[in-house]
Amino acid sequence: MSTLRLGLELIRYRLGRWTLAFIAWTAIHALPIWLGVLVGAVFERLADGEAAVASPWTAVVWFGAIAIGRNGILWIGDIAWIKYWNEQVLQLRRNLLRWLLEAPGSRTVTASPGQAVSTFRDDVEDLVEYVENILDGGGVLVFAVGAVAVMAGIDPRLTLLVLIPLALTVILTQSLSPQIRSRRREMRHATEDVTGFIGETFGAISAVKLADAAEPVLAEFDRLNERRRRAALRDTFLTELLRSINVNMATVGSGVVLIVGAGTMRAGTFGVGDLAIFLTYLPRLTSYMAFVGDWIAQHRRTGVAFDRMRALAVDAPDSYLLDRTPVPLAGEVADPVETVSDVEPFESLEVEGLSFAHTDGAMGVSDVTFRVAAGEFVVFTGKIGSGKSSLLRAVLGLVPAQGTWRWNGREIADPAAFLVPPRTAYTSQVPRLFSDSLANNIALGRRVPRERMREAISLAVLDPDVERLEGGLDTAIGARGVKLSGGQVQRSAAARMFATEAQLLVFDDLSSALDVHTEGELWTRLFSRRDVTCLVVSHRRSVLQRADRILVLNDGVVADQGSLDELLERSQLMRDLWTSPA
Amino acid sequence: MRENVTAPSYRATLTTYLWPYRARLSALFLALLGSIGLQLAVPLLLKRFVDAALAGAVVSSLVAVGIAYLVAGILNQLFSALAAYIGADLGWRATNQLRHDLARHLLGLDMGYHTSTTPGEMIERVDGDVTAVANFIARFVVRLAGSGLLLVGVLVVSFVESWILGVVVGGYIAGVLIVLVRMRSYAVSAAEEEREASAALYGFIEERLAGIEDIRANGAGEYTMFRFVDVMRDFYARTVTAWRRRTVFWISANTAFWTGDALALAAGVWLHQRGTITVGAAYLILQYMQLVRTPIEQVAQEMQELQKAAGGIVRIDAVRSIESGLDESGVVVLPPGPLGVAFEQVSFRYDDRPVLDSVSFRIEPGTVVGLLGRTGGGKTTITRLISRLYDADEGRILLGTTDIRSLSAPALRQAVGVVTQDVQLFAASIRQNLTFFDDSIGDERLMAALDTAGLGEWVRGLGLDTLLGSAGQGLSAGEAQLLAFARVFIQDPRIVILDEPSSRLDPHTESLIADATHRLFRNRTVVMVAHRLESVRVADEIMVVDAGRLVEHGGRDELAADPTSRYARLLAAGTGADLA
Repeated sequence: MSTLRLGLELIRYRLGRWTLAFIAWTAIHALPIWLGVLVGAVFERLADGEAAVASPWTAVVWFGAIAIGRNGILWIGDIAWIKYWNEQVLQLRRNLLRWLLEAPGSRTVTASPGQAVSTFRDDVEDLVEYVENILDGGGVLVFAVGAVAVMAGIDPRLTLLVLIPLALTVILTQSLSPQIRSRRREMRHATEDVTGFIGETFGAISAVKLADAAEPVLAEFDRLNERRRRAALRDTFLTELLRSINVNMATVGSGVVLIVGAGTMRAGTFGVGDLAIFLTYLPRLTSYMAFVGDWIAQHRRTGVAFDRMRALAVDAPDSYLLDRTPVPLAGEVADPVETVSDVEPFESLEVEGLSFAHTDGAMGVSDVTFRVAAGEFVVFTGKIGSGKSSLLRAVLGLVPAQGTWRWNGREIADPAAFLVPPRTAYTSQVPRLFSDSLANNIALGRRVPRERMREAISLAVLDPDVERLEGGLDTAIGARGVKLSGGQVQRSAAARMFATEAQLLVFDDLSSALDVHTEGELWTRLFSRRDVTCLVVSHRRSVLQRADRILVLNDGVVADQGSLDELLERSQLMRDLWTSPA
Repeated sequence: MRENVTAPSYRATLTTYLWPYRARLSALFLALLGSIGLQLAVPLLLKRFVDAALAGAVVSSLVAVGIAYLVAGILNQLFSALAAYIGADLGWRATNQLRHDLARHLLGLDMGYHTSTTPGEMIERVDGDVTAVANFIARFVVRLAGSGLLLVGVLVVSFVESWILGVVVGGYIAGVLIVLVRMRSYAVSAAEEEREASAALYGFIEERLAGIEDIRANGAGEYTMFRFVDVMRDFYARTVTAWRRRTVFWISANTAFWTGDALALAAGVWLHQRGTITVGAAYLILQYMQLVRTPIEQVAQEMQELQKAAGGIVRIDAVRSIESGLDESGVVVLPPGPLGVAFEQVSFRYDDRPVLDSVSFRIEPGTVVGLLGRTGGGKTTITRLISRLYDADEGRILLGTTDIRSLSAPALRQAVGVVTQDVQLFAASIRQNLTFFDDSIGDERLMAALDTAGLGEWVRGLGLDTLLGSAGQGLSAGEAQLLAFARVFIQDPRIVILDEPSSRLDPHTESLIADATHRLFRNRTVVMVAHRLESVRVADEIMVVDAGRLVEHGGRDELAADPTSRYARLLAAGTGADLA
């Protein structure tokens, strides 16, 4: 899709509102042609003195009426545009996030969270800014053509002469504005480095104190500050340079008018009114030329921004990213209806020939085959880096993997969409909670009956913590609330999983954040429920002892599988893992 | 938060930090004055041109005015760009010094202060508030002072031209300024709301992207999108309101300016028809009316920045008045040789809660002591008192025979090395993480320490200048632990405090750590906080702490042999039991 096509697609999003804004803005940009002519008329008549054919007052009154009336149009145009802009940016952000969270297949975000958020923020804004430029383009064009026509009508030679420096503005702005953006980015990075360093220093304050390292740390801090000062100055320099060019081109144009016009004025073909018209038009013409230069740069940037959005939302068709189904931004919204699909009772999950490679070449898994039947407790174990966590994520379709999945004997086409509650639920190794109440974090937006919530919390051994929290389940956690410990986060995530009442529970290693005692309690409570089926990554003895079947992973392949006793007897790897002190 | 700025502190802060840059400050004012003078002169040149042309002057004199106009216009732009540049430079230089002083002050505060604040707050104090001050210097001085001077200049020239004109222009500027300054605060309060709404929106997106697998695997996509609609509605409502308010401000300003132009035209026509002024002067009035637009806008805008900077200076002063609870003015240096540790009747309270109650013990030089006990019993507090992150409320702590309170900070830090459970790392190179940014430590010393820690090969493969991600990204838990060991080997302390790592580690890393631990303990006095009974097998002595009291202290073998001892009972309860 060409960038211009993209712009037109975006305009179609709210065509009526955009057209209204377009008409208003065209008028706003074009009216100053008339205002310039009126200023010229006033001074023409003042210069003519007694000989004037009409009073200057008519022109003054017209000037006042148009200048103030123009502000009324400004109001209409701006309100229409404010709504368009904000609806459009949210629409695009909604489409992006929806694709990542709801689209079929495996979805991973390969960009860092910071980069991904900047696509949501900056790239989306770049797209809408482009539409804004199209909006302004019409009026800018009308003014430029109109003003040049009026000036050429007065003195074509002088007009040509002053337009030359203005054309330079287009070229200079076009080449400088990407530079300014990259300086801004540099400045932003330098600031992030400074704030990041402060955060880390005070986050590691006890280590800094214990090492008596205040002096070298301060020296590093000074170095980062100095780098930011330089970045800020480069930014200031370029910004001022661009501003100087724009202002100076207008000044040079006006100077040319005075110097060249001096002769024609003496000859009587170029009056004071004409001079006033030229001098009124020139600054606006210059800034519009800068606009054209910026437009060209923006055109390129928009293409790049859209490519970045596409890269974030892998495989998303353009029509999905530009989807126009309105976001309900006002009025009542109904809760989503819980689709209580009658799920058949779970019998078995079979995975055959599962393979998955990391894009960065890190250890994936290859050709893994296993089966979990209802009521079984299956454990994956292996050394760190043997591919256990990768395997779990591949099984659930969280990462793109090859293989065959069978649920109750029938093949699954899209494991990512199929292996979700009420069939399966998952707790990752480092689970994420959100800045919201604890209850909402556990329910993840679902309506969870109170009884089920209480049971989930108790199964996860989270009840003592909930009791200690001042607001109980309503306590806000996360960035602006209570900071939970690693163990509390892990158990909240477990509660989140239990609350789904899924048939197959998939756990990544709990031992990283839970001590032996707490983890043991969790398993004891869970097993007091008879109908539980689990697929677990662990190397804790107590977990291995409970396992119906253990799969020992080594370098991404299943080295052996069987019961603990069998494996201890025949597998050296298993014996090593068993005797390791953890 | 609303606070009154006391004039003296405000002025003192600015004077202290601007005085060293007085040469730059003078250059800034010269550039500003030059720019303002030229801005006033350019319309006067136009006036002269128009009047001369109408009076039938010779072409050469008109051309001369034209050239003067051109030169003055370009010079003016140069001066104003120069002023902006010097202003920015001055602002950053002065406030970087302020940042340095604040960071130094905060680093010197005791742990009691730091445990009650978050790194986010520190960023706000050391950078956020100071940046408000930097903006104040860079923009307020340049824009507000410059704009103010320009307005005064326009007023003076207008009065010289005609007193009626002076009154009209003066009344106009004053009226518009009053209205705009009032309206500005209306627009700004909305802008703050808008900032909050955006922070909420992007915060939501960032958290969900980070938790994308949790959401997808737990089938919560639809619900998350539903919640997102709430966040978007809030964003939409607040942003549209803020933008509308800005539009109101902007359109009011525009209306005022265009009304000003119409007024200028009318005043010119009227005064010219009465014979008071020339056509050129009538044109001058219009030019000046357009000249005052930007300064009026800027004065209205910078008044807000002024308030923000004032708030920043107040908070900075508040931080600087906080004093450390730890007196680190000691000067005593420790004699060479092995060091023991002794507690004499030491008590410690945290938030009025007793944590240690009259604890006394003596650890002979070169002894390895395993510290056992339940979480919250006081183990960690004992180690923090030895490393003097806190001071005891009662009693004395001795290193050798010296009270630690009389020691100089470098002497203490040199003598006591600490390996904490969670290794605190910077997003910096391996070298910088080892040395805490101290460039004076040579590669050989670093590599020797890394070899002793068992990380030599690993680092040789990567290079000392390999960057680590923040919070130790790119490091396994084991590697982070070993890096912490290497830090202590570089320091080469006589006393080591080790909080046993409880992270899950694979057997290979476990054995590396065991080797490094063995080397670390050689010829040093060691206090090891143990979470597993197996770990204290290397200890010579065992101390058991419970509820703030030392309940058992003796040789490990003797205690193990005595079935009534707590240690023996713990052993009997079974290995592998986690004590934490």
